[in-house]
Amino acid sequence: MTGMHDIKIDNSLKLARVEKSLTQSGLAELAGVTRQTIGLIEAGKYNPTLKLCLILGLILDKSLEELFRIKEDE
Amino acid sequence: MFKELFNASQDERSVIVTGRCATVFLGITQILLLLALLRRRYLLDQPTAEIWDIQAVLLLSIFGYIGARLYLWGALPVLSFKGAILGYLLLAGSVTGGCLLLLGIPEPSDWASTWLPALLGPAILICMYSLVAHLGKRRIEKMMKAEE
Repeated sequence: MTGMHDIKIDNSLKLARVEKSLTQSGLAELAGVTRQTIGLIEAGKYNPTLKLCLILGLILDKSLEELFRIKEDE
Repeated sequence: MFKELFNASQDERSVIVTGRCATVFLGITQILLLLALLRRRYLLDQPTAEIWDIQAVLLLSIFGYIGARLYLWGALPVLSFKGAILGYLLLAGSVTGGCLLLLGIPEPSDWASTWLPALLGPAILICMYSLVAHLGKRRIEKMMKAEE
């Protein structure tokens, strides 16, 4: 049985960041986190808090849905 | 360098990492303390009077950790008075019954080390549970009201 905790989250953070011509370090500095945190979010290895998601959306001019979505079953 | 260090300490991921490391090493510390306690008591034959400090620290650490987690969680079912009495009878009954079965009827003169802990221990546990459940629930409800 698939529980709510098994849901994978997909994101287009890297695409949005590149569109804004920002490096991981640049985005990290604007968001007040480390470059590693941005790298892990982009790699899908870390789920950021809602607060950070909203901050990233604000910096990248994207809505929450544009940046993060539930990954479809493969 | 210092700016980087400051930013790193502000990072939300560092809070999660810190929490996980603290939990893992708290567990390891508690297990090692327990092993040290068993070694002192049964290998070195030290009397209980000489190891009570380690026992107290271990007890405080285990119950403090569980209590704080349950308090902050704030979703423990709060026992009614009837439920608490029933819980106490069940707990004290099984502890007393189990001890009587395993160790037989104790000498009346040993009541302080036999009957007293068997009857008082469950009462303390039920009281602590009720306190944590009540205070935790009250804290969360207060926080929810503040958001309205």
